[in-house]
Amino acid sequence: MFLVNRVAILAVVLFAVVVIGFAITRSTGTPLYASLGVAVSEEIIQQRAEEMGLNDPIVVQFWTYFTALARGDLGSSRISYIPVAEDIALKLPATAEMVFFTLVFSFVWAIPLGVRAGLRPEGKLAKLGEGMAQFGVSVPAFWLGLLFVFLLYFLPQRIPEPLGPLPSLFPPPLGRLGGATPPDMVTGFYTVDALLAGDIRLAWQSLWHLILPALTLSLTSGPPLFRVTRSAVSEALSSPFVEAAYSYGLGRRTVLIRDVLRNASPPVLNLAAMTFGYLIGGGVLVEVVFSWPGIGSYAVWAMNNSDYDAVLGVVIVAAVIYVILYFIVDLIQFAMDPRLRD
Amino acid sequence: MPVGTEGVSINSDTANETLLSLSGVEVTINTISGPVHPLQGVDLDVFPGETVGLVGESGSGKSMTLRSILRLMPPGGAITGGAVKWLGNSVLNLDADELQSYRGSQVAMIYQNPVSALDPMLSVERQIVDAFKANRENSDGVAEEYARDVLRDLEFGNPDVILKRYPHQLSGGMAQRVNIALALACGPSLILADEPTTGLDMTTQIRVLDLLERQVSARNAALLFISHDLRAVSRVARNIGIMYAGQVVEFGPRERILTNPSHPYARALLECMNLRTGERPRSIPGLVPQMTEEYNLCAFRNRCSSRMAVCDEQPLPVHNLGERHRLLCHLGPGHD
Repeated sequence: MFLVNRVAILAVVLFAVVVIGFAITRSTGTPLYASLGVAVSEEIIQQRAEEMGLNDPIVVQFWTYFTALARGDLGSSRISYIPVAEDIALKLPATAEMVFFTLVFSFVWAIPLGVRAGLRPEGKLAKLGEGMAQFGVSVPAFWLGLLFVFLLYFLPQRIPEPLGPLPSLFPPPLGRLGGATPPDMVTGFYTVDALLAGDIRLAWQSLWHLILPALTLSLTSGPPLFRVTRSAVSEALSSPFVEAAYSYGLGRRTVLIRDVLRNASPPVLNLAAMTFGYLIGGGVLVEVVFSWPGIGSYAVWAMNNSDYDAVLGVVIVAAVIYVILYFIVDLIQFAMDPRLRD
Repeated sequence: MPVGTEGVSINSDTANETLLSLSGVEVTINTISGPVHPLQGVDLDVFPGETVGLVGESGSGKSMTLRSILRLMPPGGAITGGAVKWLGNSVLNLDADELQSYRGSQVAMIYQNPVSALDPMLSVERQIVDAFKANRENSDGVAEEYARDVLRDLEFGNPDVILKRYPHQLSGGMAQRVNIALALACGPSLILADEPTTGLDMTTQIRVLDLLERQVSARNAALLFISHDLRAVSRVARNIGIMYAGQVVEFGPRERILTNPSHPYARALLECMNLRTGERPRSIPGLVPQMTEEYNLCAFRNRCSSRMAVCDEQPLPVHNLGERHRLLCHLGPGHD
């Protein structure tokens, strides 16, 4: 029942996203000028508008779009004529890979520190975590990215002679590989594809390129994860059933894993899914700083040109990713929490 | 004897040995708004196999007394004075491992709110099995069998169904019987019960109380039962202590405490609860003392109808009146 309910809600959400996205793109500009330039006659513009179907009633336009969408057709760019699905298939994996490693980093620092801070609110690690969280929320991601580039790439290069130019510790911020030939596309994750192709050097190189953007995003998007983990753990820790578990002579480690972490995990999982979904579209400034050919940059380009189908395509794909992630989280919680199964 | 119990053997030698002894126990909790002193010198003895009840208003330190026995302190709380002794050994000196094996297998606790004392994510079976295994060696294979037996002891008609259930699928009375099963599964010599029936309706209360009493005595374990309800306590306990402001102000056999208490607070409490007269229950005038203060003099004197000059001048004397009857009051025995 819970799952049926969730699926229904998610379907409604997706439909609402399509309708609202459609309404907003249509009401905020036209792709005509980006596609034709401004130095064309009114006649040609009218002719083009007719071709694109822009003179049809808005309901007809929506129906045309929606029926195509129902067939899985996201349309084509009105400017480059490349199918939107093709562009997205190329750019989404770049962003997804970056966001995936962002979450990996966040799981390495924000969640363990959050657990520790929940268990020992006065401890040194709790203060370290809170310090990192304060820093992460107050610093803009693009600025932090620039700072990393400056400190780790630009500065080492300018260390004067005797010492000589040290080999740069981090690769220059030139996209996903810095000039190497990408591996054959299987998953679109360069690290995975390179491994599949048996090229460990290339996998290492793409991983190396991922570190700075992912670290930047992790520091700026991790603080909520840290705080939610801390409060969830601290709340679980003060529950009567945790005290009861201790009173039965269960060990600290057992109680921590069996009771505290299990009961603290739902809000953390939820937020992790939300963070992933948010970063798919929200990491655009970091994509720009690191010349990352991701979907965020693509969306900004499409919006600047009022490229209807491209913008909507990104919005819908991002929404679908959200919905799928939430559904996975729901499934995990359904498996974990008996209260949801009734 | 039920399966898997390791009750204390009661013979003439050990029967006189104190199982648990609290003397002058003080607890301080540091809160944001300053220190609180919920226990200000608790004295209490429990002998093997006996039932002891503690009565007092909320805030009198009943629950904290039980927690100090298990050394389960709330955040910022610590036992700051006195001694807790188990079979003559100091509980306050136990290291983490010793404390873990003392909890459960020696002393187990039943909690006030039965549903929230169970982990909502785990099945009844998992919780009983884990409690059982934590306190016994070589328990593989027998734990599931034990879980079924202990539920049967607690009058669950269909234990196999209950074992598969989760806490939210249990009624309050069922959840409390599961909590009792958990405490029994640890095989303790002393069971602490923290207002175990407060949240239940009247008929369920009596049933759970009787069941608790029967199962504890079937295992030769002792029971320390606290409640604000003197009737519930007098139903179960052979010896009764009256708590006020973090101290046990009077302790004695049930008959003495119920028929002829010496402490003015005990008398007032009894009068409040005496419903046989058909009168509207009365309340004790004055306010419950603030536990942010430490009381060197009697904490009840501002509400006391027998207040004397000495009450404002000297700390409370201890009167031992025989038969474990003990009194903290300037009035002493034999007044009125």
